Order: sequence, then C-alpha cells, then structure tokens
Amino acid sequence: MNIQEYIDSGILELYVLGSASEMETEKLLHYKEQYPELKKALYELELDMERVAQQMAIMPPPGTWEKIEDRINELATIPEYEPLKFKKGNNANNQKDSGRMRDSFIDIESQNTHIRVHKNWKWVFAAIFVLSKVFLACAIYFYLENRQAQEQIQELKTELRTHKMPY
Amino acid sequence: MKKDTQILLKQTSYGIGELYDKYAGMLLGYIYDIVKDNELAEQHLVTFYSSLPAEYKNVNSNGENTWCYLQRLVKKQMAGVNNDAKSDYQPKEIDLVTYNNRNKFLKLMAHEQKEVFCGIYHYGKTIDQLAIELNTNEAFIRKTLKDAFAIIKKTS
Repeated sequence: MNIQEYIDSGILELYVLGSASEMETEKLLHYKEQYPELKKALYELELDMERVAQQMAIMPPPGTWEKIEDRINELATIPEYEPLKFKKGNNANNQKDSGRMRDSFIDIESQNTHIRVHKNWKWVFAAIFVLSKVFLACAIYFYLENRQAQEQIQELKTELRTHKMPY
Repeated sequence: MKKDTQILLKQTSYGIGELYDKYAGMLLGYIYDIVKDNELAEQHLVTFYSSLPAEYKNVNSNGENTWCYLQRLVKKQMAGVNNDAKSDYQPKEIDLVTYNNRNKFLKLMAHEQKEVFCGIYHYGKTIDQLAIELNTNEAFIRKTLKDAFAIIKKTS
C-alpha cells in the first residue's frame, strides 16, 4: 500500500474533523499503528485543529464552571435505590399475600426536602422584594407625616386655648 | 454511606475541572459558531460538561488528541441542534460584532474552501452531502478541504 497516497487522499482531514465513516476510522487507526509517517501526519493535523480552535476560542462567562459543578454534584448526591424484584405467585397465594402486599407498596414520595421552581420566578420574587421595600418606605414616610400633622394640630389647639383664655 | 459511583463522580469532577480550564474557551467558541447565540452556546457548554463524567474514562484512552475527541463529542451533542439553529436563530447583532472577527484562518480561505471547511467542521456535513450541495464531485471536495488545511498550516 502506498501510504503517501493514502495520506494525500484527504482522509486524515476528514478524520480530525470528525466526519470520517466508522469503517474509514477503523482502517485509519489500524494503519496509524503500522506507519509512523501516517501517525506523524495525523498528529500534526490534530495540532493544527487545536490551533484553529484556540484562535476561535471565547472566554466562558464567570460562573459557568460553578453551574457545571453544581450539576455534577447533583448527580453525585442522588441516592441510588435497588430495584424491587417482582414476585409472581398463584391466585391462592395472591389472596393470602394481598394483606402483605398492602404493606409493601413502593414509596414514590420524594425524600428530597428541596423544590425546584422555574427560573422566571426569580424575577417575580425580585419584584415582590422591591415592591415591599417601596411600601415600607411609603409607610414610614406617611407615618412621620401623620405624626408631624398631629403635633401641629396639637400646637394649634394649645395656641387657640391660650388665645381664648382672656375672654 | 456513599456508593462507589458517587465517589467516582466526585473524583471525576476534578478531572473535568482540568478539561474545563484547558478546553472550555475553545469549545465555547466552537459551539458559538454553530448556534450564533452567546447564551445558548453557554447553555450547551454547561450541558456538555455536565454529561462528560459518563465519557470521561474514554478521554485519551486510545492516544487520540483530547481536543479532537472533545470536539467530536460536542458535534454529536449538537447534531440534533444544528438544523434547528439554522432555521430558528437570528444572530444577535452584539454577538456578531464581538465574536465574528476571531478567525484569521477563515479570512484567508476562498469562498468554496470556507464553505467546505465550515460545512464539515461546524455542521458535520459529509463529503457526499457537500458534493450535492455545491453541485460538484467528492474528489473536488476532498481537494478543497486539503487546500483549506494547507492554509491553516501555512498561517499557523
């Protein structure tokens, strides 16, 4: 087999781009072990592809890894349950076992104490939080206004009383 | 008590952290060029890395270049998305301005070379698919792809 011809056929380029068929890939990996020049050509092409990707890289936004880690940790904390084996018995046994069967229902209620909500709720909660702050500020403002008005009324009453006194 | 798989997952996440440090930027750039949407690209990246523990043992298993292996996995993940992306997504102007001028290799390629290279690299098209699309034969596509790689080699 002429290995240079094989290299020039463009199959290596297709392979590094992930577009070679299964048969072509199998053949290529087989030849790779046999022909060092093919191995070298493939290695160089892979490096070229890595350079292209580096050139086109975009820095992921901060917090992306945390999201990934959370998801992986979620997988790690999901408890694994042993599947229950189904036991088949005859009718007589079924009637006898019916009482026992009632006690051996599979508990499908989740043990997890957390709930998942849609992301949109984040904005609803944020709006509720902001509105509550606005109402609180309004309440304080009107309370102070009201207190000041009460004081003024009180002062006016006292003033009126003192003006009435001479008569 | 923790199950073996849970311990293995924890250990794997450290290895995936290393793969993230080295390849996340490259993968995000690659995915962005497919979906042309920054947020969506990030979502796909998160999904990809989250599902990587299942494939982790195969990384570097047969001496294959890690980047090429990861890129192939992403391509598999994106296979169902590609067609939707082309019909549904309108690239956001801000994204285009920020990211479209990244590739010096593509700029140096002729129109046909670019079409063949991007068709295979980003959209996973096969040689015969491209031959039909460009109304030419497979030999021409292979030659065009080789020429595109020659430009990459020359530029790098």
